[in-house]
Amino acid sequence: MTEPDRSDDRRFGDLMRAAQDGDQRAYGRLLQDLSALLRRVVAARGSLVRPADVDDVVQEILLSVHAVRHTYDPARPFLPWLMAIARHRMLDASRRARRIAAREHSTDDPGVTFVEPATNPFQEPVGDAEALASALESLPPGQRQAITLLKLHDMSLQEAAAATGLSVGALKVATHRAIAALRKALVGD
Amino acid sequence: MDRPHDQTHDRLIAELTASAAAVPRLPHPAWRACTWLGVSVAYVALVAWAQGPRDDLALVLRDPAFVSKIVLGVGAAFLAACAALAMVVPGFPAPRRVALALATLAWLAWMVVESSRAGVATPDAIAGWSCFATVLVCASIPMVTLAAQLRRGAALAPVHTVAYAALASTLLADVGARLCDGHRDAAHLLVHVAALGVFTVTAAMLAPRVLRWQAH
Repeated sequence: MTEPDRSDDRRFGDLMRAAQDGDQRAYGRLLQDLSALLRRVVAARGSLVRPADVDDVVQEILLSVHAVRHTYDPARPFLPWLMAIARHRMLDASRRARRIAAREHSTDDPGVTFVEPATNPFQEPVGDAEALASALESLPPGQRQAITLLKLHDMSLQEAAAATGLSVGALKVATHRAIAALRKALVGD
Repeated sequence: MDRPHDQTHDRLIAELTASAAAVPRLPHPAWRACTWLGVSVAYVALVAWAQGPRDDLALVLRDPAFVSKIVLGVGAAFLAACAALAMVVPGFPAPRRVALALATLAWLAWMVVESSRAGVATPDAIAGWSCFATVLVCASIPMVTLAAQLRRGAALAPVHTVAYAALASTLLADVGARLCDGHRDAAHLLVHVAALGVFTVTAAMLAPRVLRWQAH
């Protein structure tokens, strides 16, 4: 796909205007189109976003676009609006990655870490990944989003709150309920 | 076969699409600043009336220099409010924001110059604190009103945005204080500048709590 031009900008702007008026079909199409564009934009900013984080950052940008879609003015070009959001989200991701890198330490002998079966002779098997994926799938959207951002994407509560627009308290409650639901689904008590 | 990320991605888009109700568009920052100014000027006038206007108000209102200061103060507050409201609109043209910022900073510089020319009278501590309190009381409701308006936008640069909002509120409050007090010496002017600085820095420090992404 080539770089977006004026006609793309107009098309995106028209779709967003329709979405602001409640046209869900237009909104779905816009988000699909933006996903492809954002993947390329984020991937091209290798200095800010690690390749492994590209999909996560694209999803954060889409969440942000959704949260502030009412700020788009149809009389103005769409792409500067989108790119301003994308730029801020990429900077957030870069700061987060730096923070995590500063906290983490690599080890030369991963065999002694807790995740190796040899170091956990008395631990019960955790269960298979498919069961976990299925249990995650069965969670309500709010709980699934909370557990995904906090536990899988390793966001802080503040970062997840910023990405979703939920309060820290609401995220804590959603995470607590999600863990309880997962435990019930996987262990059965 | 889809990768797990693709499945998550598609599910996210489906969820966002399903929850996408119609949303009222945010009016232009200048219109929103006009609304803010209307409410805030009414409040500041009310505070000035409640505190009692200065004795020579009728006289100074005939002085073009005094009226120009009032107009300049209200204008700078409006520009700072415009700058704050423009900052919560992604992609709002940067040159305009810079122009608004420069206008506000020019007013501040003028205020400092005026302070330095006003003489070296001995500061009156009680009158100074009273003046300080008047500015803060006058700035409170305009700040709350503007913060509520800002929270409808995108929290792209919370610290700068809230700092501009605080600046707008205190600039307007300064106008209110001028209607209550005579500002006969440099100490009073410096009290106003100090109140402006304290209010703006405090608000900027609280910015991440005041302004964050909102769900709609």
